[in-house]
Amino acid sequence: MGASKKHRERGGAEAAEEAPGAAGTGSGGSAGRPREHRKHRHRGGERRGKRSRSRGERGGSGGGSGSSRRGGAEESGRSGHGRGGSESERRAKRERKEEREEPAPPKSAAGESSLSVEETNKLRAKLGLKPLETGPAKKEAGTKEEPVAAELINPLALRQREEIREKLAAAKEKRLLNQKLGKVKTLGEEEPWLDDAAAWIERSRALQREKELAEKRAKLLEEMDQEFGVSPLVEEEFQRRRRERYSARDLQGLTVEHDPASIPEGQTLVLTLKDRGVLEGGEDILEQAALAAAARAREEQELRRRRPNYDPYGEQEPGPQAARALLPQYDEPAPRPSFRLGPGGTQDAGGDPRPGPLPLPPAGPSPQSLELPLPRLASEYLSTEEMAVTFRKTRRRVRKLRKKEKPLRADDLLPTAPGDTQGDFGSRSRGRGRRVQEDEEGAGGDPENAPETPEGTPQAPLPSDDTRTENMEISSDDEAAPPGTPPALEEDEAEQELQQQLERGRRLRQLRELREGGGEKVLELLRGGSGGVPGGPDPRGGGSIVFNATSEFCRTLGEIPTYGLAGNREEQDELMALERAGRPASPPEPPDSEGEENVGWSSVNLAEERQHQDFSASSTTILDEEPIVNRGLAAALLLCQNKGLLETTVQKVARVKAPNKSLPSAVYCIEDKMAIDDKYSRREEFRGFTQDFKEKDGYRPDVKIEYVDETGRKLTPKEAFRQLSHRFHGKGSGKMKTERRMKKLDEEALLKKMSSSDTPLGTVALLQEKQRAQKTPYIVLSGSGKSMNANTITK
Amino acid sequence: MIEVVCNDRLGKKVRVKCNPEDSIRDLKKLIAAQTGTRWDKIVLKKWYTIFKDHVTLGDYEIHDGMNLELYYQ
Repeated sequence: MGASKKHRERGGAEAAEEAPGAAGTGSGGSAGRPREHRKHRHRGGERRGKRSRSRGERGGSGGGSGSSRRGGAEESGRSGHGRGGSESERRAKRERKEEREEPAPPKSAAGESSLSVEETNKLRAKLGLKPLETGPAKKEAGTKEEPVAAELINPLALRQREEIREKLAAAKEKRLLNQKLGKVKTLGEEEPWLDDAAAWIERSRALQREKELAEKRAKLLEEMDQEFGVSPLVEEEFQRRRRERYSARDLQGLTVEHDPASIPEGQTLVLTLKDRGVLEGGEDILEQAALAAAARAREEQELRRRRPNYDPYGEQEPGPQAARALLPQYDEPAPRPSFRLGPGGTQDAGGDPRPGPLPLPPAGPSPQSLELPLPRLASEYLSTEEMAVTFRKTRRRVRKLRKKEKPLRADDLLPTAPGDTQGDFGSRSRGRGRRVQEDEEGAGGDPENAPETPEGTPQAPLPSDDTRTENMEISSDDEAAPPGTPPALEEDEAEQELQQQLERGRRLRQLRELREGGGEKVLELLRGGSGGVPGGPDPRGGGSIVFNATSEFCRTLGEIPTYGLAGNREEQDELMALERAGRPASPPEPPDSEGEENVGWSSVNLAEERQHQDFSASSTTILDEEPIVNRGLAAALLLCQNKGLLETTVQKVARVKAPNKSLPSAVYCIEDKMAIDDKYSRREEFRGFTQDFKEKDGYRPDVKIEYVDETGRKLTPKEAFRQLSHRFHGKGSGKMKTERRMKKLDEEALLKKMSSSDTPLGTVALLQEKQRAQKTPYIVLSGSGKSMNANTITK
Repeated sequence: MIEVVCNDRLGKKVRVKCNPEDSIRDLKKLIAAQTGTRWDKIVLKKWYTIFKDHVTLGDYEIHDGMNLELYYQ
């Protein structure tokens, strides 16, 4: 906006000058005058007087005054100071400069420098440029401020002109055509001799006369020739010419590259020379274009269709195709049939028009003869080749050092011996007992040895499945044979050993358990373990434990307590009996009195408690390891913790509560200033510094008040004031204003980022990079680099 | 004849008279004569457009009174 104002001002002044001729400054000045501010009127008047002022200077001063008019410091270049008084002296200086024509360009008030037209022309002459064109015609008519009405564009006139032009052009063309075609007689033209007989006669007579004249002339010439003896020469000439003429006999010996049979009868074919390389030697070959093309096309098709023989097993003998073993499809095409022209350029039609006998079909697999190889005497031994072919070297698999597994046979699964189907397989009630009974017979040897030879098995009824499964011992997996199977011959010694070991282990464990139960167990054992340990299904007696899957499972569940503990129960009773027996001094028999009953009850209670304890101890085995409670305090604590009987929460940190009463402070007092009532006493009190204020010497205040905006940018005074006033009034700018400000700030930031020596996109840097990469001092922009050279580059 | 104003915002402001048929190179030479730099060190720009040396002012449509930015390389 400011710029436009400046231009307007300058434009006004310039227009004033530029009015036709330089002499019209007076009028121009008056015209420009109203535009000037009244304040500077006097200056304008003074300016008017100076004719020799250059336009630029005028514009400069005008610009200077214009800026002063605006008042604010818009541009740093425009210095507003010292305008008033120095204006006149600057003008004087300018005049002096003009007269002297200093080489240094004068600077106007605004800090610009500009040359006058003469100076510029001199400079241009020095540089070798054309002088300035000072023509008003060059400038556009009028300026922004004084628009001159442009001349009307008359479309009608334009159209008329166009039409005239067209007409002229058409007339010219017609003239030229007529000139060319004027010689041709049209149909419409009349030939008099076509209609009129007399005219025709005339014409024919005229023609006849012409002919006679021509003959006469020829005869005359001949005679003349004969006179001179030139006629034989002439004759010779003609003969030679005829001889030299290219005729059919010259075609003798040329080859035509077509099958003579393929050329149909009675047809005229135009033969052309076949294409050949320039440097190729050899003779010319004639061919007919269409036929040759057809033949070539056929060949191509053939090649494309025919694929190389696919022979994965190599069954086919190579045969005639052995020659083109390698990439037959790329071989040279076969030579075409051709014939030579005979003398006189002719050729016998030759060959039957009918196609000859069909060629033999290409041999596929070679023919096989039916002769078989002669019978030979068979040899008894294999020759080495046959050996290699027939026998393959096998690898022996390393055998595992395990006895062979006995394959399970169907007979094994048959529970019944052939003759025994009525066997009793055991009932729920009686089965076990029966087993006990019969097993006791063979009990001794059973656990030690492997399943015995079933001597008794065919006689005695076979044991039921249950018993068999029970009797199955948990041993190595190989040994899956039930006791009723036929003798296992492959029983190793190791197996027996293993069984013995297991038996021993079992017994030891049992003993341990018994011992744990207390000395009673020992007593029991001492008494005899046969009847004392009625541990469940223990058919063998002798303190052997038999595991079976179900009992183990139940044991771990806890329903069936361990054998030892189970035995404990009985022992408990006996223990009690012992106790009672052993303590005659203990509370009397229950039937005495109630009090004694109580005591007895209590004693029983004790026992019961103990029982309960033990029960509790034992009953904790459900689904868990048995915690060893009677081992010590630690175990008991662990048990309690697992059960959650102990409280393991962390103690809360004691929080200091806010004291209800305020903290008594030792040193403070509440001063009540209002207690001082009378003003006189208040007057005397001193509120202020008690110390002397000493001036700091050597202090030079270096005030630097910096205001920053929210991004940290330093603010100009104007912006700082704006910020302050916003805060003061409590409201900022509106939406539009802030947006504009933001935009302006962004543009400034962008401007700052812009590099002065490069485009914003960094094109120069990129170009240099490319040059460095290519190691050339130039860059080829497009196309091939060869097209660019010094001759092609124009201004 | 047109007059072009070249400003480098650092204190140098120059008004140059030239023809529209002059090329930018000629204009740069004129500017150099007035400012005292070398003409091949001058870059004339208008916002992001760099004026190339071989194009005339008329082709760039630089009219009378236009402001050009003066930079140096």
